[in-house]
Amino acid sequence: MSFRAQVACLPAGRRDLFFLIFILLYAGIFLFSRLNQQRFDADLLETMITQQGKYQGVSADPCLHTIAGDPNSAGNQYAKLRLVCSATRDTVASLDLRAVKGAAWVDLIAELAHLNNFYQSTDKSGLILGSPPQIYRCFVEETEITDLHLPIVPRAILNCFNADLTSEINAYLSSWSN
Amino acid sequence: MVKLKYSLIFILLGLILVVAWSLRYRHYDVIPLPGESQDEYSNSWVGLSLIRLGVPVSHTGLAGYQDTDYRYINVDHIYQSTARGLSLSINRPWLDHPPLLGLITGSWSYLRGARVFSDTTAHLVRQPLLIFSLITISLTFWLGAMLFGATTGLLAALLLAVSPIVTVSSRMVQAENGFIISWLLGLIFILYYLRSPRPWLLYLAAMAAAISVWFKLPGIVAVISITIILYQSRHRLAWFTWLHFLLISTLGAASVIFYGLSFGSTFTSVQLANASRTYGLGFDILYKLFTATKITSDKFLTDGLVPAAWLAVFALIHRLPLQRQLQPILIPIFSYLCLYLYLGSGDYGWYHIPFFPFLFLTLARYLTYSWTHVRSVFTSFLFLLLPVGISLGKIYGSVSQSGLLSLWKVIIILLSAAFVLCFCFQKRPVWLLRGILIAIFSLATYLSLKYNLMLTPDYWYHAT
Repeated sequence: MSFRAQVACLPAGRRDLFFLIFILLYAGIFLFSRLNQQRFDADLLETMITQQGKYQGVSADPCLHTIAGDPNSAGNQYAKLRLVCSATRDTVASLDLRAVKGAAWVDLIAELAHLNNFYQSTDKSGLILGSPPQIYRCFVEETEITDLHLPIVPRAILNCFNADLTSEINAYLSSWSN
Repeated sequence: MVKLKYSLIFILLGLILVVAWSLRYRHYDVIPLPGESQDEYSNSWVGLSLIRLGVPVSHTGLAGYQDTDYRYINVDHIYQSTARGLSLSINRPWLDHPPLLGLITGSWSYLRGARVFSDTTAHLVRQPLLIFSLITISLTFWLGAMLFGATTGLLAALLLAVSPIVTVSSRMVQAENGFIISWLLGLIFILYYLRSPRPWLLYLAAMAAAISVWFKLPGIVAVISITIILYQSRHRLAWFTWLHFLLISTLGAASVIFYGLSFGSTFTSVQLANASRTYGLGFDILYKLFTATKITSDKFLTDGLVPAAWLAVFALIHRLPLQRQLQPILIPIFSYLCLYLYLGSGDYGWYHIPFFPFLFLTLARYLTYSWTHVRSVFTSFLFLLLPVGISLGKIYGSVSQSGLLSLWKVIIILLSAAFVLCFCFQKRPVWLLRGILIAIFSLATYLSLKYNLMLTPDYWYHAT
């Protein structure tokens, strides 16, 4: 039978079959997608977003990387973090506070550690960064932030110095007293 | 003899594919720089999240979503290079585009061990696109060989293989690199159908056209262009054939809507937001389209083969003896041009990708036409002078710096010779004009190859 004949002379039953195929296709896609959505796991999603890739090496040095650029789309919802690791090495990052999960300074530092893939923790001695672990002291303007669980001040700059850099810390503080 | 001819054709096609692979594989994971187009990650994350979570989750720039979650995902160290410090707006379910390309790159990444978003590096997600690119070249050859003969098919494949802009843009995880394949397949099936109207060929073409939409909604151009081709052939076929194709392919493409609706009202609001996107092309878009191409938001790559091909389109459009033969090429070009100009969300280079196979087929056809109608050698020479001149400038700098003034003068003397021979003699020296055509084509191809080899990460980093 020619194609013309096939379509023009399509009996009602065949025509129904034609549309049935598409209805089944639509229903199949819709139902499969709905059923597939049942597998959703919020914890797994969080892992997929936050876990470091296997191609990303852990950095021993918190100042190895710099975040290039500023989060202009965040409006006023940003804060800057400056790490001074040695007399010659420092790094600055501007972070979008909407992307920082948590409202405390320690969360800002944790986000930078996540981005630049270096070790960070806090204990009684203060902020510990990098490997081997080094203690850091942090300041907003001339005020030392001893409790990093205090809330972030938008648009502020948190300056964290390796605690061994006494002369750099003093120079920084004296710049404020002037 | 026939066997020998086919063997030669396949050997040449094989060589072209080897050249194409070498050019595409070279620095494929650093040019364009990872993160210059975040769509590449966006597409791959959709696939990976669909596989692992059953829900598409990814980065979007579109309005229409509720509960946007801002995150930093430092894949490929983009925050140390191209991300400009901007956080990523993550949405669930992500419904900017249909998921087929994401499923392909996501599945590939998953099979290669990727489990989290940071694993989907450019090195990994661009690999399937390298294969896509070879498939596109092969299908372009096939289409060209069907319409105009193997020589035109081979020339078009060679032009696609060595064009620097195609080399770079075909590596990118952009849906246009996906739907061009199904579109070309649909066209090939429909051309076979026009030769011998067997229903299964029409169904295959309709299926291929419908699949184009699963890559990206502008893939509907496959449905539109093939319908127009069938409508034009309605006198040779049953009158309702075009309608039949339109019905099947549109019903097939509509399945995307059911995928979207399975995620609830987000689909509608995102599509409405997509429809009201800024018209970013500008009134001068045609000039930009013909002259320069943005590869990513701030990187341009000017390739003279593209304007040369556009000129070939305009040169051939009114050649009546060729018009019928060229319709399966010109109809797709102008269908996509209308859609591109209408949608007009931006002048990014990847929106130009679907033009390339058809443009280079037209240029190749013009060259083979010049071979038999040697009076056209002069215009072919003029067209090819564009890639020659642009590549010379890109590779060697200005005429005075390059020390190539003598070569340039020789080229101009050849051009003048072609002009005189084409227009001033009744009996034209065919062999001489063909020799000139081969010389300028070989030079254009060689310089395009050299231009490709100049594209190093360092060059790209400073390219504007």
